[in-house]
Amino acid sequence: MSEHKIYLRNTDVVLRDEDDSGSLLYNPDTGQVLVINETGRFIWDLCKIGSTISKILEQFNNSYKDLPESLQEDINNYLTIMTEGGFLASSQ
Amino acid sequence: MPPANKIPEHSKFPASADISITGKCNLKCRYCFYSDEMVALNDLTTEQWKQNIKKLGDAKIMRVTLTGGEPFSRSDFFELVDSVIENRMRYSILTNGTLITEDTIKEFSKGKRRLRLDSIQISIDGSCAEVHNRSRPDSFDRTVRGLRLLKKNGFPVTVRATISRHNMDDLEDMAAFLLEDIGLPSMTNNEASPIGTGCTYSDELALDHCEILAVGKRLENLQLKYQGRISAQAGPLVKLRMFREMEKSKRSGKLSNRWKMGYLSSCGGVFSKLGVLHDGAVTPCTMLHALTMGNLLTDDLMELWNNSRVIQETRERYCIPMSDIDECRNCEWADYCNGGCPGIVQQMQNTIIAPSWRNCYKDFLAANAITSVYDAYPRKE
Repeated sequence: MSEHKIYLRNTDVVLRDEDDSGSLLYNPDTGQVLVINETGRFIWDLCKIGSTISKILEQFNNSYKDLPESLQEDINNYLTIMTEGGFLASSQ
Repeated sequence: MPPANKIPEHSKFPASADISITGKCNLKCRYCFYSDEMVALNDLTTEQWKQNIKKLGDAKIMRVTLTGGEPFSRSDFFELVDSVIENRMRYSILTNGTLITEDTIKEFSKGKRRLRLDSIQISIDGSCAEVHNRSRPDSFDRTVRGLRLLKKNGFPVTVRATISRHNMDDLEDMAAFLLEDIGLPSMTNNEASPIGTGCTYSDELALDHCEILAVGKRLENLQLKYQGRISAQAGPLVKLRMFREMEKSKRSGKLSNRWKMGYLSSCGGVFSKLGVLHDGAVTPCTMLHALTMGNLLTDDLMELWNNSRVIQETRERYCIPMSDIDECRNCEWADYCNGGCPGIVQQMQNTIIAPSWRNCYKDFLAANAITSVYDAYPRKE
């Protein structure tokens, strides 16, 4: 996963904040739904104007205390799933 | 009586909507659930529909089903499809298939029209013109032409057969025609109901309890023959499945989790979807067209979804015990029943707080002179 990749929302994707327990992203081009937790929701917000992994990590550190050790891995996983599902686009 | 539960939470946003984009139709089917008084309502203009479709998209609805009337009878049909796409939704179509031509196929190839299409469902009620046209006059050849065109061009096309007295003797031929000759991967079926125009021709069309049993058993045999290719969400197959589930629960003393037994709980649709009629009226379901929540042109959709008294009452139905219903109070099956489709009940009794006799297991047993649905099947040695 390249440090320089910029991740940007697919503007056709719909975000549905269902309830306190989570949200879902809906890609109408594929019909695919992705259920996301607070971490995924935060990443989604940051990708509105495009963001790199390091920028995303920096924003997490600025916004949250006591971040889990697995954060970097969680972010990588979300970015992979979101990109593969067409929820995000990535460019170098 | 089963323990009372609170009304389930409805989803924060509706997941889907059935939208009747027109009341007009080029056919006059004998069981159409749109009655003459519905057809008389005015269709919305293109701009009004675009405005409404935007509201559906803004309410984060994911899927719409375009229905009618006959949706392809609108000259602006593809303009409305493009509006659905622009507002980030997918779509399905319910059609009689008669207006689908090579030009229609070409139109679908533009932009994301194919990409966003979930399915096109065509209604076919017979294996030949003689049978099909009894319910759907003068349409078989045109319908089959449309179906073949879609199939040939790789569209996600499905067929729904509405079973009635007009075609109940044609089930095997119909399945062979659709699944073997045409080569569809699957088909679904339901039954003609006394709703809309179907009320007028109810005696001529609607199956009685004995016919439900006979037709249901033949459909089950066809399900075995065509392994997984025949399904139903309503009608004889579903009724027989439901009756067996009731028997099983009563004998084991364990309530099924397939539905909320002992309550008017047959319809869960109102917790995640809604209907919009061709004049913009919002209803809990297009089958409940007499229950208007408001109008999409003038009202806030989310306000209707969350606070309309009409949809709240439809949801509250889910928690009304069958034993609270006068005619069911002393029925031995009350703790297992779900009351049947509220759309049919509303049409027949002008209320949704009632059961549908068309789903009554007690009546079904009496009419067939049996004490259990299992009596209708040969016993295993």
